[in-house]
Amino acid sequence: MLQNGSTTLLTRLSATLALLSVSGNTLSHEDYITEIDLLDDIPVVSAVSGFEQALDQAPASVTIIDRDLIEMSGAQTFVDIFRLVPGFQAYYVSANRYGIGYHDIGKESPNQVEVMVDGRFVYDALFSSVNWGTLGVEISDIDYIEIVRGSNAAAQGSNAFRNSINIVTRKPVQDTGTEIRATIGDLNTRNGSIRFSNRLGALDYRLTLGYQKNDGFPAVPEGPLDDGREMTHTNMRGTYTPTLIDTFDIAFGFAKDRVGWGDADHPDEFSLARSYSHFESIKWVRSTDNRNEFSVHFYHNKFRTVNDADIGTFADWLDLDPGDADFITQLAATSPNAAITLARDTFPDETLRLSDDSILTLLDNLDTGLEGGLGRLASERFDLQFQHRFRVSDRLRGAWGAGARDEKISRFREQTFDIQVDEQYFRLFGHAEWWATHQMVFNTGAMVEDTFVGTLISPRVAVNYLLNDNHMVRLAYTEGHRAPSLLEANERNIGKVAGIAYDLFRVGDPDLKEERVDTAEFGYLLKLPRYRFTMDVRVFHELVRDIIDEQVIPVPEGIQTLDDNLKIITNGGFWQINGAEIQLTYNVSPETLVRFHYMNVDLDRHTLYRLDTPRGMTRAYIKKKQDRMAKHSGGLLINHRFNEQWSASLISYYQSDVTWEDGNSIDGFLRTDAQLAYDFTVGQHTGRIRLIGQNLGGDYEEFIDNNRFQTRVFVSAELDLP
Amino acid sequence: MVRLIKHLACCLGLSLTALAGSPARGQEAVVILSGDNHYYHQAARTMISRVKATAPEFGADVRYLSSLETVPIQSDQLVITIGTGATERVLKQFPHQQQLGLFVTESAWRNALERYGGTTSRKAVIYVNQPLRHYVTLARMLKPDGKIIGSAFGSASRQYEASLRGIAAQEGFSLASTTLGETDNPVTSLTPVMAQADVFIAIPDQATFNRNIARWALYLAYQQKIPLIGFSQSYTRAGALASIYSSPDDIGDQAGDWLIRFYSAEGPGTQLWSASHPRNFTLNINASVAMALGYRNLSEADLYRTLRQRVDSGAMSDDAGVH
Repeated sequence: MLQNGSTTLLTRLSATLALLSVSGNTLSHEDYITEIDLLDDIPVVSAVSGFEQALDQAPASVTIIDRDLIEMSGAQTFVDIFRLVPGFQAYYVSANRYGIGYHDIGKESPNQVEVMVDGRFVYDALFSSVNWGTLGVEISDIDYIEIVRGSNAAAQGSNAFRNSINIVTRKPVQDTGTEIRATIGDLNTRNGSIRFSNRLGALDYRLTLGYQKNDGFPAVPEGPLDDGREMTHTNMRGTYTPTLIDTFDIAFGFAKDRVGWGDADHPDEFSLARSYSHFESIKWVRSTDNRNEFSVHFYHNKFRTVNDADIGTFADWLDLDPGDADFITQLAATSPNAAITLARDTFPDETLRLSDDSILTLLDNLDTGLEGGLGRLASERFDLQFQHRFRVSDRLRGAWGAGARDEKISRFREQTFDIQVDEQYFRLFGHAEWWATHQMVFNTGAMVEDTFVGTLISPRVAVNYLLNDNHMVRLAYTEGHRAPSLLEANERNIGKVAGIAYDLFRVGDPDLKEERVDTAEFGYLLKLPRYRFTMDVRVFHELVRDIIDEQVIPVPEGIQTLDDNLKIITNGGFWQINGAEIQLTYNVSPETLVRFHYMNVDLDRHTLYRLDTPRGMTRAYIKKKQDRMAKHSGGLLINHRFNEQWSASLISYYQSDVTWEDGNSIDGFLRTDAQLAYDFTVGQHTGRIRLIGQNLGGDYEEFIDNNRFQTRVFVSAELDLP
Repeated sequence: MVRLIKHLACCLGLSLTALAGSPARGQEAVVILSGDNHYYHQAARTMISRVKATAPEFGADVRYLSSLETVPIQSDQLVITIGTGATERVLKQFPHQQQLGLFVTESAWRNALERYGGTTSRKAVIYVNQPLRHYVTLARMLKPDGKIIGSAFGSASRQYEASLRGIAAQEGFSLASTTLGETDNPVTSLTPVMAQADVFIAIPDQATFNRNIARWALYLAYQQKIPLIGFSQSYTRAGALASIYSSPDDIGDQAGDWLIRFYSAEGPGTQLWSASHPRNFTLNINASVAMALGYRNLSEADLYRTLRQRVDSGAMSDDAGVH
């Protein structure tokens, strides 16, 4: 029945598209070719506007990190990759948890960046961020990463608030045979993957199995950091091209991750988080003629994790030794009033808001075991999007589309939280590129989203002026809005013993609303193909308002709790960011590549705090935090190929002093990596062996003082079997 | 709204183009653009600049095809048509007019002659497409030891399969090819061709075919590590190792030279009234692809110079073109 229904739906949709294609094909001619055919664009991919654009026509600065560059850089993780991009803050929250944000302030989970993998959004509402560990993408499967520097909410929606990242994996037809990779090295790293590409009937497919294991950062004087990982994942991507004009892209995957979760400031609190994720995706693209292309994309993401950390008994939490705890328990049983008096004298501030009965209940439960950690979390997303790319004339083209999303999260831990939320979102978007003259191109577009905080409209307008074939200047203005994530809006993380709150960890403001960013930018692109030189400059002014931030306020009157402070997630932040980025690539010769990037930024950050006084007055004060962004950051990569076999790279990354929002104050550091690669051929087999040295200088800290990044050495081998 | 914007853009574009010319008695041509494409404008601008450099009195009345009815055309006046639409229309409406057609493919011109029964008397055309021999010669330069050229044909280009096979044979290549219709699977059709080929030549067909075949041809060529030769700048940008095409400036320059001879003291000789492939062409390469394919020292300038020498010394007159 379902099959019949689906078939009918597909048939109807197909018929509709066919009709649209006929109506759009106004220049049909059967047996000859015109100059239009000869000079028509051959597609190159871009996620900036939803249709293909050259870099000098795009309304935003875009960095492309391709497979070759990733290989040259010796990157072992996504942090290494994103340190190749100007404006990015990429850091290790712990050895296997990555914080990756653009113009961000160093949160454990940067929440203003959207990431797509082959068009599938992977921003997770549970973490209000991207869980890089369970992406299930093998770095060697990446064809290229397209990074829009600046808000891309106009094209990719709310979560692309500050920027967006589009990871494109290799199409199955790009490879054939089997590729085996293995990496061993410091931190007891044992990584391996097998990729098999083949064809089954008319379906080209790629099957990848991956395994990663490491022990995490080295131990510190306070003890070991149990932040290691063991992860396995598998994914399949298939391409089916039944006709010249139809393409189906099918993908599914599964990942299982065991990672040490915690805060390196408290090494004893690390606990094991076991995560499972899977996804399924199908996309149908029909290129009806040179003016119209239609696509329908449906996908499903599911993620769950379990992280229960035993943090001792309630008595431990109160810092009572076992003897005192036993005494108080007995006292409460025999002389309740004496026990209450003792409790009030010992914890005068904490017991201020508790009734005598509540104090007695707590004293009766001093031996109750408490659990910390994430608890049991799950998220699920269904997303359906239709898109139409069109070209009206040589000067005017664009894309529009609509989408719907169902998003669920659940979070449970006994006595702490029990959240289950299910929300639906709808979106409508459109973009157009208009060549006013042969040198001036206007881009404009907007995204309209229906969310649980209302209807959000994120527009963008840009004008690019091509001075000649080599120079382009761009002025752009973007307004982006980000709806709170489901967790931010519904957070109620309250620790309870026998139903009485002892710790108000975090609570979402019931009046939480969307964040807003206004960005004005000037861009300059220099291309000197003759010298194989490109330079991209972006000067920006960003105003970010109503930022969803954590504030600590006194517990309001009438709430029975041991805690005297309440952490509330609310719209209180205001950032003004001014700066400039530069990125240049110079192929000195066919054998030598030099790539450089740098950002200089000034952050003016204020957070508005509300203070409810005992007299019922609300007082506001502003806290300034100007040091949450490294003023200088940049990198240099030099790669040289000596001959067919040998090549080498030198990679440097510099970051000035910074105080991460959720981490520590970190001194500026210069990290230098090097890679030596040897390519070989044995019969029909080709392969590569790489020796990678990371941080060849002295140690430095990553995000938290205890995350000591020492020199790491890896050996990586790759063998291609046709 | 869109129409209004387009109209404004047209006016702006025309104004800029027309500024290049000032009418002068006896040396004023009417230029009819098929539409508001930037390459039509660019070709017209280059052509006019070229002529005015030697004949400052030359003037050009640049119009769009949509306003042809309002253009006063003298019977002895030269009409320069840019693009297939304008060329076909003037051929049909003014069959005896002196006409120079630009940005027209060979197949479109032949089709127009067939449809409108025109004669080639007092008609000259500089095709936009390149001779097949250019591509085959470049293939030989890129693959000195290559034995097989791969290619794919669509409904409009399949008539040139025999020509390509013949020219390939002259260069010592055999041809492995496939012909695809709209309902054929491009990957399964192209795979055996790519598996045999030492180099792949993309033959232009209708735009839908070109766009849909290009992505798979590029992927498969890369998978097999064989160079792909394209026919436009965007083909190179998308991943072809090299492309040969005539840019608007190439066409405009050649048209300018033609006009100088046309208006010269000796007057228009019969040798001017012919249809031919463009003399000028551009060759560009994709440096990233070149490096990936192991062409470590591939110089665009050197490659162009060598190709230029070879095609100039070859017998171009009997060559078949790509449409």
